[in-house]
Amino acid sequence: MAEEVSSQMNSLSISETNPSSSATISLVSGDDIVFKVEPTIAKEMETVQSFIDETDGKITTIPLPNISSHDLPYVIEYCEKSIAGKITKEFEAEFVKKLNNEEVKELFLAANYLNIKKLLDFLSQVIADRIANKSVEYVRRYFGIENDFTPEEEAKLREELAWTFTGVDPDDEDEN
Amino acid sequence: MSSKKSSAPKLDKQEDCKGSFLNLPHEILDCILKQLSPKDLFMVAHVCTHLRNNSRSDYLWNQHVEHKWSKLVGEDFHNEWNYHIGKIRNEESLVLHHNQSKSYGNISGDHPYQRLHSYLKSNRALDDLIKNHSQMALYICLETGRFWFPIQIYKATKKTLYCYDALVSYDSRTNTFRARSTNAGKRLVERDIDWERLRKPPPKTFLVDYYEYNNLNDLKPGDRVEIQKRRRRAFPYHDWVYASICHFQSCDQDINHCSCQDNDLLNMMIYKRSSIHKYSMSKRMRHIIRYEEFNFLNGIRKLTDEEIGKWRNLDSTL
Repeated sequence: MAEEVSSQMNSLSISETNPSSSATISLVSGDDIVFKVEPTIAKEMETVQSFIDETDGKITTIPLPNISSHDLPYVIEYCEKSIAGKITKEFEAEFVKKLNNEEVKELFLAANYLNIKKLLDFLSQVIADRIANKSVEYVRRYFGIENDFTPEEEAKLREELAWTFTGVDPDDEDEN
Repeated sequence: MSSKKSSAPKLDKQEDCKGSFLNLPHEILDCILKQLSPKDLFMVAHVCTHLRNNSRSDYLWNQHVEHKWSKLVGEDFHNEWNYHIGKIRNEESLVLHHNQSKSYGNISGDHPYQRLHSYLKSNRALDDLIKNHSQMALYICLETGRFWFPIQIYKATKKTLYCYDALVSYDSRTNTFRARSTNAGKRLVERDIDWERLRKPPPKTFLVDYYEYNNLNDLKPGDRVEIQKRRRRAFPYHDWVYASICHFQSCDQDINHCSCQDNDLLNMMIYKRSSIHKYSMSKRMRHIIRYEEFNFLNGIRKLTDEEIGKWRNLDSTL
């Protein structure tokens, strides 16, 4: 799969001498790498499409400062599969296998930024799966989040947890 | 970060990825949170204040209530739950002194005939949740058996198949229910009741004296019904007994020439395993007093195919 991605990258990257033709859209990553894609792929990315629409299709080079050239090929790959109607469980399983935690988070933010609903839903599930059944500390590390509770708030949470999943005694004092 | 709903292209530079998870609009964070189990939602609430606040939304918890409890949650349930929420909110405004533990509602009342009311075991911390995050609180109250709510329980005896009104509370350890009901002034407590034996009361059937069915003329032989049957004369509780509408003896039972539907009398057969028990009543006699003449019959409900399937299933399993 890695080879496939890199070959896609080659085919998608363009030379600077070749100006954007009307048949393709150029996506420029945050680190200034240009990816040429079919206009149909841009349609999958709502943010890109609305940019094109607002300029009546005159501008076909679109800067995406928040997305790195590392992440963009993954996004493009997913969109291509989506257009081809080939998003299967197997594809998604393979797709996510290639990604480490940091990449999953970056792609999630990219999907949000580009407004790609399907990819966002898929990555939401991936992130949820990766933090399911984990400890609070693990989730803090996963998201890079600091504990910002006051001691009082922490005590209150502990108290809540104590009775949250503890059943009340059956048939107790309210019997009579 | 700019609003998600904005139609304008948002191509501005965003913050560094690490910190920006907490800056996501809550509906995007919800995409992740809504995939989490109740247990994991509790866990992320302990991560930081932002996740605590976002993990308690009614939107997220409503889907868990729906997923697990929709089968048993109906109109009566919501009425009772809203009653408790209202009561807790009112108490707040009265600035009453709270005990550490308290309860709302009353299972028995002062009088043995007093009606069954839902019952909620609460405490101060839970009161706060109920006021501010009612769906999450509801999930907790159901899951921990703190909320005794209205239900109908299927019962099969050698003689009849019927349903009766009760309050139940869930026992998560056994995945069964405890039930409280009343019979002839005595309070009954049952345990280990399976999900399959419970149903949410169909509209206007829980603890009603008289169920008004307006289309008695539409009933025809072969229809399956539930008959609201008083357990004892002058006693306010009723059972819903499974029955069917049947032909009169005089009828030749030819579906094309059947005259039963035009008859003022309605012939009913209460299902019994050992024998068949037949009742007939006049369609015009709708008043509760007149129904009593027919062995305490109080009302009739025509059943849907789904309800019939449930009764047949019950008949074969109990």
